[in-house]
Amino acid sequence: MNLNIDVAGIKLEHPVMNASGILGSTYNDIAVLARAGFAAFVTKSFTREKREGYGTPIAVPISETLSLLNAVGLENPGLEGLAELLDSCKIFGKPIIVSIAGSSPEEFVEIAVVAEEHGATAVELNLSCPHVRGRGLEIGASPSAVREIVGIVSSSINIPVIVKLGLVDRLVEVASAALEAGARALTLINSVKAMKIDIYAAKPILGNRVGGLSGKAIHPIAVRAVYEVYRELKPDIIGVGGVFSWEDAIELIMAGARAVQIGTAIIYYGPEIVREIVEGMKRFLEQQGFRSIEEIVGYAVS
Amino acid sequence: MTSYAYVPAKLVKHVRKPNSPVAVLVYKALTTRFFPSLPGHFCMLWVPGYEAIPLSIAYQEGAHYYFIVKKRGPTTTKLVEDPPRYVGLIGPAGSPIPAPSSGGKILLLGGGVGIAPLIYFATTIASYVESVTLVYGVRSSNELVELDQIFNVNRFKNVELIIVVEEVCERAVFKGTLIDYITVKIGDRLEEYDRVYASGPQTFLCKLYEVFNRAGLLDRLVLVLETYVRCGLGFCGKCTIPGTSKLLCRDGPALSAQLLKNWFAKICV
Ligand SMILES: Cc1cc2nc3c(=O)[nH]c(=O)nc-3n(C[C@H](O)[C@H](O)[C@H](O)COP(=O)(O)OP(=O)(O)OC[C@H]3O[C@@H](n4cnc5c(N)ncnc54)[C@H](O)[C@@H]3O)c2cc1C
Ligand SMILES: Cc1cc2nc3c(=O)[nH]c(=O)nc-3n(C[C@H](O)[C@H](O)[C@H](O)COP(=O)(O)O)c2cc1C
Ligand code: FES
Repeated sequence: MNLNIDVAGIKLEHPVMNASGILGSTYNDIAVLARAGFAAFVTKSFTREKREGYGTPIAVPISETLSLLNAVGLENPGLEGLAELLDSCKIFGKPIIVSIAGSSPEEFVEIAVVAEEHGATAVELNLSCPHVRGRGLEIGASPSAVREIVGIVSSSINIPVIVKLGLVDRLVEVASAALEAGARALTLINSVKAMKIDIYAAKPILGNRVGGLSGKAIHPIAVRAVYEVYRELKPDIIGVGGVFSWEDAIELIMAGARAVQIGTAIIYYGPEIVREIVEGMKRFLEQQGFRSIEEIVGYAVS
Repeated sequence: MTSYAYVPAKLVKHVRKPNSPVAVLVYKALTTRFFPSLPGHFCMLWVPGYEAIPLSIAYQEGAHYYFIVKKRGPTTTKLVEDPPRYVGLIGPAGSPIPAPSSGGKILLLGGGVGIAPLIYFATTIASYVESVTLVYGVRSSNELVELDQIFNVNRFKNVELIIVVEEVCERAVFKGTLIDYITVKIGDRLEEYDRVYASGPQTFLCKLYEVFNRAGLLDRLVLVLETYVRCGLGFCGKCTIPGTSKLLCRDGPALSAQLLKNWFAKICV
């Protein structure tokens, strides 16, 4: 059985890609992902200018729940670095999705245009970063801001525009605004704004104090988000949040996702975890008598 | 498979000679869910109010983690001079040093605080190898850590500790650099050692690579490298080992010299 599927018009050999921010900044990062067997690669979120990021620690494991708190600060090599990265990664011959974290509609467009010129398969607009002011969650919580940015980016490039949203109150409304403005798919969800304090040092641990929670702890939140948006709008969805096993991946797909991304599981288990997840999904489909991934997309939604 | 954890820890020991740039610190985990480590593992040690920096675990005994720290910038200076009562440890980072498969004579070469992972390594392999020669080189005597006292290295009959100091020092068996020691004291007998592990400043590792390359013995040499480390958890890509596609905080810090041909060409030449 093969696990072929398409999402936002992108053909995938199987539904598992990395999540933005986990090994997507350099050629070597992508080489590591390619060797491990990911179906597509998502870059770290890019900004126009190079960014240094926050002071360390930039991530704190919360091992009890196989979770992680991070505040990297959107560290990335900027537009120049993006062009170089895309040119060098053509040799892998797999779809590459460029994540963008702009602070204005113009910045999103500028980066999207460079991404298209240098051969990106699609762009993923990060409208949900929980810890960088003015980039991310504030935009993604407002249907009108989402409509404006997605609209202008969609009309500026020909490659598919994917919109990544986070945990916001009016998620279905925001999702609907993104789709109406031209998004071909939605990535759900980003990490969830959170904090961890060391009670002996009596201080928040992260250099930035506040960060984003990812991993197992947010998996049920991701499943709910995907389910609700799928039930109301039936768009193409890439599910992300706490996928550590093939069961977790199948769960998101049954909630309505056509593909999944994994982040924190790569950190805890190493990039090779993708093979186990893919093999497990195959076995499950065979045992349960399904003929393709397509058949179980939204299978649990009523 | 790694299982990372955050471990709050409390200072239980601070050993430093007057004005020494080097100190030994022992921190005890304040949780029962502390992580176990093997020699070669390091951790991100968070100094509240400062940063989190990569430090080799020099020894672990239950909840007690040992570190050897040398002053370089603000965080290491704080640790050496006035270590905080409480820190946070994130780890274990990296992969264990590949252990010799069986018996044999093992040579360990540690330059400065580079000795840290090799102490831990020596104490774990001593039980099953024929002999361990631990050569510890420092620039001046005030940098010298009393390994035999603090780590009780002498408890193993088959571990020999040799101290090499660049300036005159009564504790030293040999005056000079580690490379001088190898040239003068070991010379042609290099091949008597089944495996050689080295950790220390980059210039030292480069010279050692050359020595072993010339002798045709690269397959016996393992180098413990350093790169800039930011996340320590394998996601940021900052610690790529030059000339390889390996991440130091996942695949390193110890790598067989055979894999380091391009590293040598990039870094040492
Ligand atoms: C795997 C590994 C194990 C290490 N083990 C030890 C050890 O056991 N004992 C010890 O004393 N030192 C060790 N170091 C070096 C130690 O991490 C640096 O000295 C420390 O980060 C410097 O921090 P600072 O704030 O004092 O100085 P800074 O002012 O931040 O830096 C001083 C210099 O240290 C180096 N450096 C700074 N930050 C890092 C970083 N994050 N990673 C690597 N190098 C850096 C740079 O060359 C810099 O110029 C290790 C480094 C690595 C990568
Ligand atoms: C260290 C780290 C860095 C991240 N950086 C980004 C980023 O730059 N852009 C983005 O859209 N999401 C970023 N994320 C969020 C992930 O892409 C993903 O949405 C989230 O981690 C949930 O998935 P997971 O539980 O599989 O990790 C980051 C997550 C982590 C853990
Ligand atoms: S420091 Fe190794 S990947 Fe971040």
